[in-house]
Amino acid sequence: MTSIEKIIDVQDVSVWFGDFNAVDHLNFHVDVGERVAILGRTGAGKSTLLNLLIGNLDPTSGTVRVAGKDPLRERDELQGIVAMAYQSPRLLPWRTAKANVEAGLEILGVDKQERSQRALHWLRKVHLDNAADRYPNQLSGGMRQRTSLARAFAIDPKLIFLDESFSALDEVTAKSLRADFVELCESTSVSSVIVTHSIEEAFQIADRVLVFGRPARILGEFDAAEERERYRGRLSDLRDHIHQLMVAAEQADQDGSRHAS
Amino acid sequence: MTTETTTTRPVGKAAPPAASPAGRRDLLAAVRNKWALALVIVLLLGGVQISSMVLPSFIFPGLDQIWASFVEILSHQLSDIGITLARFTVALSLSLAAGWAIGLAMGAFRKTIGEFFTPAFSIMQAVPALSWVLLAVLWISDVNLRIGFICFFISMPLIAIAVYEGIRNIDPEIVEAVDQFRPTKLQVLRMLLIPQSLVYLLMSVRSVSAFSLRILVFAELIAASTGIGQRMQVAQTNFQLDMIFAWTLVLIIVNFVLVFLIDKTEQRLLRWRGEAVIR
Repeated sequence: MTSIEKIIDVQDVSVWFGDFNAVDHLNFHVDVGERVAILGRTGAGKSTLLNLLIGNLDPTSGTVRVAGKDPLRERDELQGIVAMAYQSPRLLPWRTAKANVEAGLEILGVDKQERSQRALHWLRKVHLDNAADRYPNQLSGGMRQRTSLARAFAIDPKLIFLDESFSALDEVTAKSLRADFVELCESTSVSSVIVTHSIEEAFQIADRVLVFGRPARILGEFDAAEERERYRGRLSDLRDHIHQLMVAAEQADQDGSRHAS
Repeated sequence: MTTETTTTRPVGKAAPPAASPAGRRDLLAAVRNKWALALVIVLLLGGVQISSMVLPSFIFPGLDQIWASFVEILSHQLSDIGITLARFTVALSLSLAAGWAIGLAMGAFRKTIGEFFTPAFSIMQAVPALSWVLLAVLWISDVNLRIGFICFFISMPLIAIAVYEGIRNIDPEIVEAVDQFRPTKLQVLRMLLIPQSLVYLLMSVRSVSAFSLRILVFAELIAASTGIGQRMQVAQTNFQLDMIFAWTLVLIIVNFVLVFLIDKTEQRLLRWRGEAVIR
């Protein structure tokens, strides 16, 4: 791992489902320790990209490398390196919060005492140490999502994927969880890819924001810190700017297809 | 940092005070259930007593005769209850173990084991209970084995199919969440399939146990020389209706005890489902 500077390297990747082009000659990378947000509208191929990165899908052309491995063909070699938090927490309902956090560690073969300590450590980090023995149905939506984050971080991965992980939460809880996530990432130097359709979320969490068009291709790339500084206190202006970028790309696509036909 | 509060009360802890809305609802439901049960019992006893006054005692015995027979059973025929319960426990345990194992295998290997056993069990379930009883009488000489065979082949497919359905109903999102850590087949079995199937196993036990007991008594009536079924058959031959009623009472009590035990097991094993589901 030490020799790898790019934790994710996507080169000239296209995905076709029959006649439908989901990903169009996509090129991007994520550096080790970097947080990159993939921002796009519904149907922008964000989930397809995520499926490529976690090894659920083979690209029609191009190459995908995660931690130097082919995520599909060398899937097992990414065990313990990659973790994911989903839109819904996806906790095992028959396990307590602590046992859920232990799940990944159990699969990795960590001994009982150590996994118990690590689970409690991560539950403390997400402010759930007093809810360790509760079952998911006894936790609020935010607490479940925190447990899901703790489960992902507990295996000490090199890369974490967030798939719209905060989109089902109310704004206050989501904001608090985003702040926690950034703190956890910075304390562990883990790299992350955050797939989202929330402009605010992308710029709050990430170091770099990639705005995707339809089919999946990069319309714009932003340094999140710079943009936060530029649009300080004017979030709606930033939102308008990104929105215009997406609409303009869509308009250009429509014009292009009209000319072609 | 906002820390959310829980939306439901902890499971496995003391019940909430009756003053809380949930506690009051639980208490009211329990009282209502007990009253309903008491009412049904009173109506039944009243019906029996009135019938015995209207009809000749050899057709409908009075409550006093039935009670005397019940006491007689508890005093001198307890061994028959013990034999039936022992047969039932062994047969149900074997059915549960085999049904659970086969159901799990069907769920884990749907394309092979699942597809093979599904039609096989459909055929087995279509065979009438009487056919199993007659075949057992002709094939097996040992009485206990014979009764066990009947109960096993009638109960086991029901359990296996329930477990299989349970595994098929597993939330694919949860499977994906576990799969991200690249588990082995054995880990998937332990972490996902067994806990998921447990819900369906216990649900099937609730219905299968009562059904099995009825089948077992029926099998004893035809194919055994001991046990409750056989005693009922003797009572029928001798036209002892009071005895038949008394044995029926014994079976009703056994069923109630069974339901109570299953409830307690469910509460213990499925406490993660929350109080609202477990009754």
